[in-house]
Amino acid sequence: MDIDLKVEDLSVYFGQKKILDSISIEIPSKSIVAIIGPSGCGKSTFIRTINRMNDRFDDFYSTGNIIFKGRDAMEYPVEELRREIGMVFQKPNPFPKSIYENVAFGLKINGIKDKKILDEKVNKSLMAASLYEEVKDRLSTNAYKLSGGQQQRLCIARALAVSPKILLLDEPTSAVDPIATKQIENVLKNIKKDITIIIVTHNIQQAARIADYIAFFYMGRLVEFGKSEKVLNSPKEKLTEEYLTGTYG
Amino acid sequence: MKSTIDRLISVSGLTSIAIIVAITFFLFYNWIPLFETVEPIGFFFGTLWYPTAVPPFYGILPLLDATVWISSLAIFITIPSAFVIAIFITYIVPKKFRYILKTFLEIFSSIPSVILGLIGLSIVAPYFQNVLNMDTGQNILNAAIMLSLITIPMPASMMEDFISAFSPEQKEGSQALGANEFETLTRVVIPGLKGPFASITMLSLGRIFGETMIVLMVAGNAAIFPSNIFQPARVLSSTIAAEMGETPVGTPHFYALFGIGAILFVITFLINVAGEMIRFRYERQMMK
Repeated sequence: MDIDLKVEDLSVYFGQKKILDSISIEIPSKSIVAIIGPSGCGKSTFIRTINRMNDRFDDFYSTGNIIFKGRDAMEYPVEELRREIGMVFQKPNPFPKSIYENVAFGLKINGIKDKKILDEKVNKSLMAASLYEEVKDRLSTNAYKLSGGQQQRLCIARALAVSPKILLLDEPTSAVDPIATKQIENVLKNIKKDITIIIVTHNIQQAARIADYIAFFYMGRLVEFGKSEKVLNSPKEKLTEEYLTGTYG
Repeated sequence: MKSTIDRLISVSGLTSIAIIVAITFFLFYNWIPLFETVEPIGFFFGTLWYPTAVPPFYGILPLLDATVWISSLAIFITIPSAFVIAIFITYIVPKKFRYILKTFLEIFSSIPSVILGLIGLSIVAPYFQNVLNMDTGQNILNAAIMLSLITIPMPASMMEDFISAFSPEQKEGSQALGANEFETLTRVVIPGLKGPFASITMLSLGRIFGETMIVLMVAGNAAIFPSNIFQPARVLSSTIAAEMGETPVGTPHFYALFGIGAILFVITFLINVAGEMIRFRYERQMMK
């Protein structure tokens, strides 16, 4: 089993407050890892620490290591790290630009100007996000004209366009309807052959539907991590079992 | 209780609308009699403004021309400067000084324009004349610079508000794709603020257009067609200020000055409407 990302003894603080408490986890390559747990358990903070989105907060600091491709994440120039580790957010956040420009954004930032390469990558990314058929005739319309679910798939296409190794998703379906949720889940199942996916969700059913591995977080700690069926059907920890059966949550 | 407040608000709202209608009526009412003695074409397209000559000429074209010169130059200085200041405050100034700087900006914009006129007259004009060897220091450039100085704080402060309040989700979206702060600013934030910036530009133009005192003091007040920015000029607004006090009521000159007032009013109104329309369109687009 290849490991793409290795987190060693990661603790995260905002000011005096400890949000994550010595997390150690190895993310297997080309699989879907779901991070579940009750609200406020540090799920989002965890993935936002991986691509260093928390760096901009003055009172944020972390200890421990996040090893990506054999190198500590803190050693990368942050822009380079984020090109390799893409992110999709809770609320669809397309830019107020055309559908095409949204997807081409990351490529252009990377200095790709050749129209042919841009066209090809934009189309490929839209296809991977199962959005191509719906928008192929109106690539120049404003992304705001799309529905919420389409916008979220556009954001996935936008993240895929720069060919990241890992895709982080922070509750990507919490703001869209069930049909759009299903489409997004199918997209993730399709793309995991090329890319490692870490998805935060507080929907256990969603984790059961798509994840190969499940990590259960509680109060800033990683309680349990393992193959989905194992964690869901025969959890080792009592806390996990209680969460799954709805004792709290 | 609520209905009393409601009524008070409605009354004050309606009163302000009534006052605007009254002003419009008043301006036009005192303008129309002009056309008993002066041809409309001579007023709108006349190239000479010699209201006290015999026979008098009431052509506003040179005044309009000068207004366009000075306003365009002033807005050309104002908007880029305001933008640079807004970027500076948002991105470079440490957070704790931001508030102080913004307060300072707002105080600066409330300096009476006559004081900037004085500075233009006593410092800038002699400098232009003696050091830069211009024919006269009281000219279009001087007026435009002074106008910009008094206008800049308002658009700068508004732009800063828009830039710092810009959708954090979109900024994160951009950064998550590997864009740095600068790329995010130039490729996401600024394009996303085209609407508000256009609207701020129109508002600033409205302010520049109507500003009277500074131009009266430093533009040189020659009612000629300027051929470059180093020449003196006289704009619509300052013409009223300069001449109204010495004009007998009920003369064509008096009516002509009201005509200028009405034109200023209409143009300022149109500029503001355009600004509001841009803002409205932008907001509707953002609301989806």
